[in-house]
Amino acid sequence: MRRFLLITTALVYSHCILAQDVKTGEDESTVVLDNLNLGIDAGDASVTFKVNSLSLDKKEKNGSYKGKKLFWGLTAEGKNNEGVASIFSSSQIVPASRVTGMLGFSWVDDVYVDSLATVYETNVFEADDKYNKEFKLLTATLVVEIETIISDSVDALIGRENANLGALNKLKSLATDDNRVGLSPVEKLLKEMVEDTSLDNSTRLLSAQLLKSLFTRNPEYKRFMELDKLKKKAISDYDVKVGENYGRSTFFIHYSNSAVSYNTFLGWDSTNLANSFKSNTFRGISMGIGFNRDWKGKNFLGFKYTYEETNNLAALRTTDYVVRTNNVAANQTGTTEIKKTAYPNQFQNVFLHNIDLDVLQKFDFDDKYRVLVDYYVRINASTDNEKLPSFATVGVSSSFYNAKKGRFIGGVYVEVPDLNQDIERSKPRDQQELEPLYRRLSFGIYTKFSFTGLSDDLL
Amino acid sequence: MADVKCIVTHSAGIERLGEFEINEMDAVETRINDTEIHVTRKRVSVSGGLSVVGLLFGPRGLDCKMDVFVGPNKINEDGPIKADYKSRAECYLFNWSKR
Repeated sequence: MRRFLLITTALVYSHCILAQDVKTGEDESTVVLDNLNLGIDAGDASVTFKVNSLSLDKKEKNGSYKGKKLFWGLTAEGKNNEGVASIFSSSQIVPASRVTGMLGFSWVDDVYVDSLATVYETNVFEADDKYNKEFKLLTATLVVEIETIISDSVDALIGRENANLGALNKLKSLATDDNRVGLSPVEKLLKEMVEDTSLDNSTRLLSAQLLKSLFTRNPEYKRFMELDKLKKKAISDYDVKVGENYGRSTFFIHYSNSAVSYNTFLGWDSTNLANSFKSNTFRGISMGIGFNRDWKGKNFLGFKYTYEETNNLAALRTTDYVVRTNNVAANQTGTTEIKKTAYPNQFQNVFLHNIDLDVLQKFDFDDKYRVLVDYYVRINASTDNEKLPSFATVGVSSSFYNAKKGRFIGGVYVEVPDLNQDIERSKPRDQQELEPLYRRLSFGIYTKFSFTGLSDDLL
Repeated sequence: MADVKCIVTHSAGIERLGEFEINEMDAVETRINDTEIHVTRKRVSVSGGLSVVGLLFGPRGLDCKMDVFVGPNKINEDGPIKADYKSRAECYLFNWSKR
């Protein structure tokens, strides 16, 4: 019931779901994306909080572009083998958790930054030059004309009874002021006078006529405005035309701490069966480096190396045990029942060299849907094949998004876990169950509920 | 007719400066110190508008900005005018106008 309620709640909040995660079958992609979200993975019974400062590149209106950035990232993950709903239960302790810190540097190709500047020059500066050249012609004739008309009109009105001398003199002195830069202060004052209800109607009417005749009918002024528009259009075009040479590289180091609580079965203790179990906590660290490459915002390469201290729990099978104690008093019997899920007492620490490789491609369909296809390889090279054999996994996953709103719709994956069947081969020969490749193909569907409030549209 | 003065400040490392024009006419450039140049032109007709164009040559990453005065009044109300980096010529370009 709890699980049902949780998923229902997630669906209610689906209007704010954004998915910044690209998932592979069991794992996540090595490509670092802008992130700030809380994700609930129903299939994996885990809750993840992710944040990083790798915001998207912003082009500024004056053509400058910040192509380099130092960034940090933090991921906290809690996982529960009992199911996702019980993570939120106050009486349960999350049995597995991991905190990962990341520090990296991301930079955009110089070619792209230079091409931005070139596009900016050819569009904006050319429009600007044109604007300035025609502007020179304008000043010679139009401005003198405007100054004369304003001055004469004001003089004619000043002679009238009840004239607003203060406002009219202000207009005249501004129109003839040598230190006035451009016509916009005059235009601004005329607009203010039109709207000023404290002025008499004659003054306001004159202001309106001057505005109309001088600033809208005058063909030179119109041209002036056209050039202004041309300049603004050049700036907006510049924003559109810059995607072709885009390339971005990201380098990062990462460090994480993980903890897992588990029970081991020591063998039945004949004096007290309840003592047959031992509670343990494993704490491990992992660290490594990673590299991402982005071509044109469409193709991505992700590489990550991790040296990991882990355990062989994944290779061990759990068994459910029940210890019943009968208490007899008078003619009555009471039963106490303790349930335990425990691993055999064969726990060992293992050190791994993990190499993760992803190639991502982005496809758009009708500007409505976007698909991220991730071809991935995961190599887990063990330092001690006796404790935990090395193995490799390959797969392809596809994540589907609503492109306009950036919503994650869902994903599918096809995977071959343990490509060479190394884990199987590590068993005694009579227990091995080797199977051909096509029979080991694993298919899956994944969903992840992500609650985001602060992040921009990534997709 | 008014006197126009531009105060250009930039980070150290400038190689050379040049070609400042105020309303399409050559202006006088005066080096004040390693990081400041004054650009002036007297008796300029600004009633139709004002344009300032100028180049500063130097390495990437220069911080380069300008304040413009007409007579005693500073007219760039929105803060200092920043120069654009112009990649092909390896220089910083002021191309600013006010109508």
